[in-house]
Amino acid sequence: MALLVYCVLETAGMPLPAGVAGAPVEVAQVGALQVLLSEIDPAVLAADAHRHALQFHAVIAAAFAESAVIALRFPTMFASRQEMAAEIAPKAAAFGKFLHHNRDAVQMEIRLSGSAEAATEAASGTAYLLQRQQLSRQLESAAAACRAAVAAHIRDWRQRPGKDGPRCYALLARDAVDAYRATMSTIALPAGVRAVVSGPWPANEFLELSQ
Amino acid sequence: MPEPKQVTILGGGDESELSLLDILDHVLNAGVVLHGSLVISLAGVDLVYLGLNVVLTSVETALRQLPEGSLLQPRR
Repeated sequence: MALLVYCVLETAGMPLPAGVAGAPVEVAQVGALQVLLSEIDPAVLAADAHRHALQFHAVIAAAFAESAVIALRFPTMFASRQEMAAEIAPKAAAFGKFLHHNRDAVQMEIRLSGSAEAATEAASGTAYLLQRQQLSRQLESAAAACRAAVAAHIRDWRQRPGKDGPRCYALLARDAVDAYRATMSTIALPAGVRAVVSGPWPANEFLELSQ
Repeated sequence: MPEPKQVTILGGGDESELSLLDILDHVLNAGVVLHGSLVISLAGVDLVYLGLNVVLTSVETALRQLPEGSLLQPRR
């Protein structure tokens, strides 16, 4: 058996679903923080990984519904509680500070891409590159427009390049999500640009472990 | 034909296949990585690594296999 670790949080008092593969979710204390974990046979985990990934998400989502959490990547596993504590303990101060400061914060995401309708077949290699360059500018412009539109609702913003276009991450108060969504639903984007807004998610993009 | 919607809002009760993909994307790519914890071996076989490969290559299969209405959404 091994330990599958879901997330780190300040206090885990909320009701939680069964864990991955039906395993009970346990709470372990690491310093001032609590860690949600299950004892799992790694062979079971690998057998139906996609379903287990969704069950992993369900545990994190239940905790996140009530509290700020630091979600760990699936599958984060340790051979023992000692190994798990040894890995988390050196980061506990940074985790604790982050969770305290972002107790009521969530992360909303915007995935920007060129719309399929706007894609046209380029007549040459040069035309293709020009088309790509124009799309890249439109996507950057769209990201800036999104940030400006939601500025009143957010506390912080991150932007990273993605496979199809920029990914934008907004940090905001949990109770500002509806206003954020309402603003995003009415935003005017450059022609040929599509935006997919998702969330709320745990504010992982704003965690900086080097602090 | 009507203009396609430019902005799609997911997670507000909008249960679509795309949000399932978002969830898998998050679970696999957005979680914090604790150094050295991602691969666990049993008898020399990286079982979890193999499992991850399954997840990464079978999102479409996952969509087909999930019972209708079983989509997991982040709760608000």
